[in-house]
Amino acid sequence: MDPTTITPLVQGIVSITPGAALMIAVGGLLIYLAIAREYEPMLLLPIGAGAILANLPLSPLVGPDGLLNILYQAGVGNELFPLLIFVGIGAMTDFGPLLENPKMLLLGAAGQFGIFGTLLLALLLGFDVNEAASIGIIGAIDGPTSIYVSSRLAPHLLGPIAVAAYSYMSLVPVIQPPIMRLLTTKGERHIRMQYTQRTISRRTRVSFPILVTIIVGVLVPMATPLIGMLMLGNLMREAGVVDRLTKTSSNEIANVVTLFLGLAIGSTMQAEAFLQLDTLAILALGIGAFALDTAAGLLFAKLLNLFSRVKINPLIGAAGISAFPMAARVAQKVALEEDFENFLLMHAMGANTAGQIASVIAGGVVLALLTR
Amino acid sequence: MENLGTGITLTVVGMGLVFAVLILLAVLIAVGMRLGDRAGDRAARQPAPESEVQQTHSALTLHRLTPLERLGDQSDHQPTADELAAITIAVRVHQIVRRKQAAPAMRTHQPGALPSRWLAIGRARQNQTWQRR
Repeated sequence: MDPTTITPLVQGIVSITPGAALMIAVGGLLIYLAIAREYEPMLLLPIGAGAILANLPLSPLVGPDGLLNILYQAGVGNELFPLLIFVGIGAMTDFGPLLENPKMLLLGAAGQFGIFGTLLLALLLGFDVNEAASIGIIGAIDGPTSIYVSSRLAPHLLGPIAVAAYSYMSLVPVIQPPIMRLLTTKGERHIRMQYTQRTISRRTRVSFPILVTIIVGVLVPMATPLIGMLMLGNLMREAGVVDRLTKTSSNEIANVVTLFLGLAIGSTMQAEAFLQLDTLAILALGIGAFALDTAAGLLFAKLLNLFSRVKINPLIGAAGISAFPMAARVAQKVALEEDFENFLLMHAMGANTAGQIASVIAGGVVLALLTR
Repeated sequence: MENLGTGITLTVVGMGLVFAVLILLAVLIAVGMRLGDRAGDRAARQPAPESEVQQTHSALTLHRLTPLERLGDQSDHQPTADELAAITIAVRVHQIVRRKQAAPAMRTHQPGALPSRWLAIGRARQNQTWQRR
């Protein structure tokens, strides 16, 4: 047996690099977080698996005809996957609490300050404008929006941005409560809000997605793909005549696309691209974006209280982000810690769904301002 | 610093646009909801169509009638005396069967005619003066 016969057999072992080994460990960590801690397992597990598969030595999966590369080109490079996921999200979301109290949209708007605050911080750290905007969009706290925007503005940062967006999203119950307690007084957390359920007619529920699509599409054309898909899903849900399409969008399509998206994102985490100082900066800025969103929502709710006759519990301001329904639950939980009979959940849900719409609009605004 | 200037402009314009679009949406939704509420109120205030009221009334009346009376209402078909007798017996037998199925075999009174044992004891105890033992 001559050495040329043995070489292909040991090729994998000799080709492994420390960077690749580290990235395999990172992939393993993501899988651990998904399985043991259940942090966004639907996304972190495929991302972790994708990271491991992409970093295995001489992996054919990331070659020109490799599966991961094909998935990336088919769904992330052309923004197909995030948009399909939006159809599913729309089909799963009930905008009823928002329709009952449209003022909550203001809290959703305030909750987007993290995007622009982080953009400024990223510029201070030396990122260029497009990169800074892509990092800032982590503050939308909306995975598909982050992927959609960053794949257009800074595709080379897609891996760390997606990882930061999804892993921090699962950490909302950890990141938000300390900020909520820090920025509100005991008295403010005790504020009770009356809830009287309004009957929303079917006509209103059906016309809402159509109206939002047209208004946002006309005012912010760059947001049309995102808001259009989100509202299409919601229209199917509220119309009630296409149950099969609604179920397929919210189950089969969303699940299949989530798997493909996770694998494709994971494949961007190759050692030479991921192991940079920039990645650490993005991960740190991502936490900053979440904190800024929370703080801005709380402070804006306090500002509204200065002018409003009916007081708002500032805790629901922190729910004006896109992490649905986690942020609303966190607001309710913190309120219950202070007052066992203070039920804010429906108000927080309204702010939370407002945050979903606002994050999409903010993503469109960022794209409109930076795409030439 | 030039980049930072751009960033500040982006922040001001971006947040301004986000707020503007969402305020417009909030106003439109509020107006739409109010119009929807008014339309709902108007619909609720309108009396129900006459035929519907009549149908409801006749259904209620029919429910209160005995089977014989119900048959009597139907002017297009007049049952014979034998048919009426057969129907009456059938209804009576059905009532007896239903009562047997719903009550213990030894029950001598209609269900609900007498209080249950628990209720009877409770009522009796209420009538007794309470004494420390």
